[in-house]
Amino acid sequence: MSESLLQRVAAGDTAAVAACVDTFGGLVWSLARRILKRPSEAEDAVQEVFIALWKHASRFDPSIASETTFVAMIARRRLIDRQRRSARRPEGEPSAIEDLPLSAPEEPEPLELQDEAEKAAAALERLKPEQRNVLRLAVCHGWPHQLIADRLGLPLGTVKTHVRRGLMKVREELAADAIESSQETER
Amino acid sequence: MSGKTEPSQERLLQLLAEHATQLLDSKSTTELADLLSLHPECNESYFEPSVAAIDLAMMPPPSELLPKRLRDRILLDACRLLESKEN
Repeated sequence: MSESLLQRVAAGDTAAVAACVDTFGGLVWSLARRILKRPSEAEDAVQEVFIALWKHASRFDPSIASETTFVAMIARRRLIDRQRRSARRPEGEPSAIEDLPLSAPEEPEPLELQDEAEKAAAALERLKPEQRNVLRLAVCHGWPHQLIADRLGLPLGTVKTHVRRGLMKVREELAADAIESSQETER
Repeated sequence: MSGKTEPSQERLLQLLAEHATQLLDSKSTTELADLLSLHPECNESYFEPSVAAIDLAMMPPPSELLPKRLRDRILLDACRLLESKEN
């Protein structure tokens, strides 16, 4: 089995470093632009994300997550930390309650889905629109649970339950897929 | 962590879900650390792959490319890091 880009980066392969930037640069940049609005801050953050990626490349385990998910995990962690540090208003936060959609939100055209993202999308499809909306606001827009509760007029406990159950559903879906893949590898 | 959950597991899952999606206050952070010590099969990153996968699933396609000057800076950082590892 050939080594992944991140495994090659961990081994000090400089060609893999450039390939990694070209493969994941757009993804990390898009996440940064969405989470941190100011371009200069997004640039610094993306630089930090890639430094973290080079340092942690050896931790990549293909049996746990795909490279894309691993990169997104590292990037999200850094970007959200930075967002919290600068106490920036969460992206997309409405200025008034009437700005919020009354029905299930429109979902954007997704990226070309692969691996875990496909499984996550399938699990999300099975959630009720209200649950999916709560999860989207918490995960994609970084809204605190209290803000979601206030804006959607839901009890805080309901918001927390939607987030927990939604994450568990996605996690179960990913775990089932991982078990299936490892069984196929053993055959 | 699977099957029937006991109250401490239920609380642990709740705190892990909150940790994955928002900033925990210091009291909850301490409680999470205590519960994790009781459940070594779990770790702080329990829901992180799920959160990343959800983000990827819901994310609109990238509309901008990585700026070239930023790409150059990133590659320079990488070269420095790799060199320092070699020395």
